[in-house]
Amino acid sequence: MSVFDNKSSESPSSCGLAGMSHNTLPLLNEVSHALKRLVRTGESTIIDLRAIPFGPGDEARLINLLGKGEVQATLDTLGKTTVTETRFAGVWLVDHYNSEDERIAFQIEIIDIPELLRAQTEDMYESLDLLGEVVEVEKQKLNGGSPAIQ
Amino acid sequence: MQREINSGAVYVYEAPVRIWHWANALSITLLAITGYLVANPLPSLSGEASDHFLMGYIRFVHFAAAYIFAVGFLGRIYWAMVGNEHSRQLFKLPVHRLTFWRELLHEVRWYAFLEKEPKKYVGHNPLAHLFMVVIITVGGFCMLLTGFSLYAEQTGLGSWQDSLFGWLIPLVGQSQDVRLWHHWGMWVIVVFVMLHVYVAIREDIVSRQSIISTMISGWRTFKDDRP
Amino acid sequence: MAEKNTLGESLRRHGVSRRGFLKFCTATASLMALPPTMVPAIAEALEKAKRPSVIWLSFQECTGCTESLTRSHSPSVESLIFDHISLDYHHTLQAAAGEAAEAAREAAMHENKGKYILVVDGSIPLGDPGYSTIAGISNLEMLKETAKDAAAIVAVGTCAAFGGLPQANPNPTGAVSVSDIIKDKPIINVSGCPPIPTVITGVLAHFLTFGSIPDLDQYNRPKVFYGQSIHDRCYRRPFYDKGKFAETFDDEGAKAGWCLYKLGCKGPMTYNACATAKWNQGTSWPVESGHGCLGCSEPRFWDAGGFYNALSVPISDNSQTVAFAAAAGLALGAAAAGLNYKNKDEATKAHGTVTIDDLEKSS
Repeated sequence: MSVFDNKSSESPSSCGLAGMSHNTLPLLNEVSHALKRLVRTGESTIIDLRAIPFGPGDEARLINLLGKGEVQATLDTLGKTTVTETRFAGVWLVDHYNSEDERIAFQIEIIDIPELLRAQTEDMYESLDLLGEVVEVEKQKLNGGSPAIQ
Repeated sequence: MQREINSGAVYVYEAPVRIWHWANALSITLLAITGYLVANPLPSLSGEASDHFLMGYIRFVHFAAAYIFAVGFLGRIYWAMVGNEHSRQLFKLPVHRLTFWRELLHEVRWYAFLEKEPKKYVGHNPLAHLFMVVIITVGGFCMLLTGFSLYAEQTGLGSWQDSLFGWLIPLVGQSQDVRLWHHWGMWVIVVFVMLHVYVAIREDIVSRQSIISTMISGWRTFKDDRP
Repeated sequence: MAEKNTLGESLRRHGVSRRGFLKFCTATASLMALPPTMVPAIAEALEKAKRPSVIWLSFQECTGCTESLTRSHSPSVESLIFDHISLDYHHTLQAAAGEAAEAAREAAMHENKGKYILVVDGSIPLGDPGYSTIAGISNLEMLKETAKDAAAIVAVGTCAAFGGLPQANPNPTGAVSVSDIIKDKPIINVSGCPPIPTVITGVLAHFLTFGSIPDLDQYNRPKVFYGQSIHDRCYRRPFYDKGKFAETFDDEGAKAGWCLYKLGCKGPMTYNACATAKWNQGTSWPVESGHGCLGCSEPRFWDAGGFYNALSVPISDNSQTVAFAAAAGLALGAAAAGLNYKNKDEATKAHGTVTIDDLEKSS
């Protein structure tokens, strides 16, 4: 066993791909530094996993090491997107698929909540108008009259 | 360059030139050995991969020695401007002078044991002069150009190595051609070093002047008073 | 034909939400190999982007580049054609044939004068125009004609970018690259044999998003994809530094996934995105599958010696030169020795004998 494998085998979720894990450790370090930055300065980080030269098994190993946390969300827009909190709070896996179920982006976000989960300001304004309309319609229904009369 | 020298010693190689000579000797030796090993790596070491960093060290020595060679080269050019008359010999070749060619032929014949007596020179003899300029000045410059353009491949686009030397690879055609030239240059310099050491020892013994000690003390002494 | 409304409008009309748009921008940034911090800028640019008209010309090529493009998964070639660009001429993919096809090309050129992107795959023969023609028009003529009013030219594949296979020694057709002919247009070289599908679409996406050509390296290749060598991005690079090499394709080193340098990997001199973008929807890439890099995105890679010779092995056969030099050295040495011998003979002949009496006399 190499030095690195000894280290990682301490973690509960090591998948034991001996000698093939060269890009997992640096990436874990990067995540750890980014989390430190987030805690200290509030600066968030996004790591594009498609820009990382993974060796065979590296990606599976990384996902395994990051584990699963409490939050899991699925978005259905232009295909599926899953947002998973890892067992490290503030570290998220965001996995984008297109309508043919092919992965189009895969990122680690180090942030309190991924941007994609937030309601968009323009959408909220639009919702405000929409909600107003709904309230109006419901009011009319309650009064028993049709909105066209008033 | 032949002069009427009757006796006494002449101060030829100033201290910076001597330091440069020996630093160059060391860096060229290291460069040739490590360069060869970069091109033809040693058999894989046994044991865990994480215990070793062999190619990394070999490359580090190559690059460190290359920087010493490069800085030395620049320093030597500077010294040619501010040093004595002999310090400029490496940067000019009196090809327009007939005497140079005549004495060159004489020196070739002397090296081949076809002349009975060599001429005396304060600086380099014409043959040594020609080889120094072609191999060390021009050759060294070519090795620096090709070497740094290959080095720019790893320092990446936009690095100073790339902006200064990166143009060479597209000019030559592709990177493998540049590797070939760099490799050939190494063998040319290795052959030169062998000749250089042989001739330096030989001339120290059979010529009429000091050779090896001159590159240590800087003083040229002569064994006789004849012209 | 290119739509006049912007991509943002078009997407919203198709019921794409702002979250969806954000996702689309994230995928686009990832596709263009731009950092995720660029997403807001991309969103802003994409909102205003217009679908460009694309004319694709295929010259002396093997259709491998088109095969590669059709395997692009993000965006897929369908979404690329329907959502991102307006592919107005591509004689392998288009439905129209013969005169109708050529009419489509001319119409696209006319309507989008100065604004369309010209994509070229394949090299152009200069030896005889008859070597390669489309609808009776020689490649050279068609390239010049179509390039005249193009906004930019994308040379897809090593053939179009550098001459590629047709130009390999002895180059029977006199093949040249696009940049050998067109000098007055911005040319983006997307080299590779074939190029990575997402790199082709990524370059088109960049033009679509920003309306400009990306930063290029010294061979006019986009730096985001060709900025680093295979060797520097290779997951096997640590083995190189540690001096661990596979010596044959079936030894322990090969099984353990060690460096393939000695087996002829051209990774150190090859610039491409294979190590990160990978192939077949991110499944694998040559080095990961155990074979060295051929250097297919570099100029003249076909003539760069054997694919299974280490980088340091000379391209040409030097044994003849070395033998000749050795013979010449030997001849010179023999001549010098001969001359010496003559000198020695003369010296011996001229040598007078001295007796003890003589010496006593003179003293």
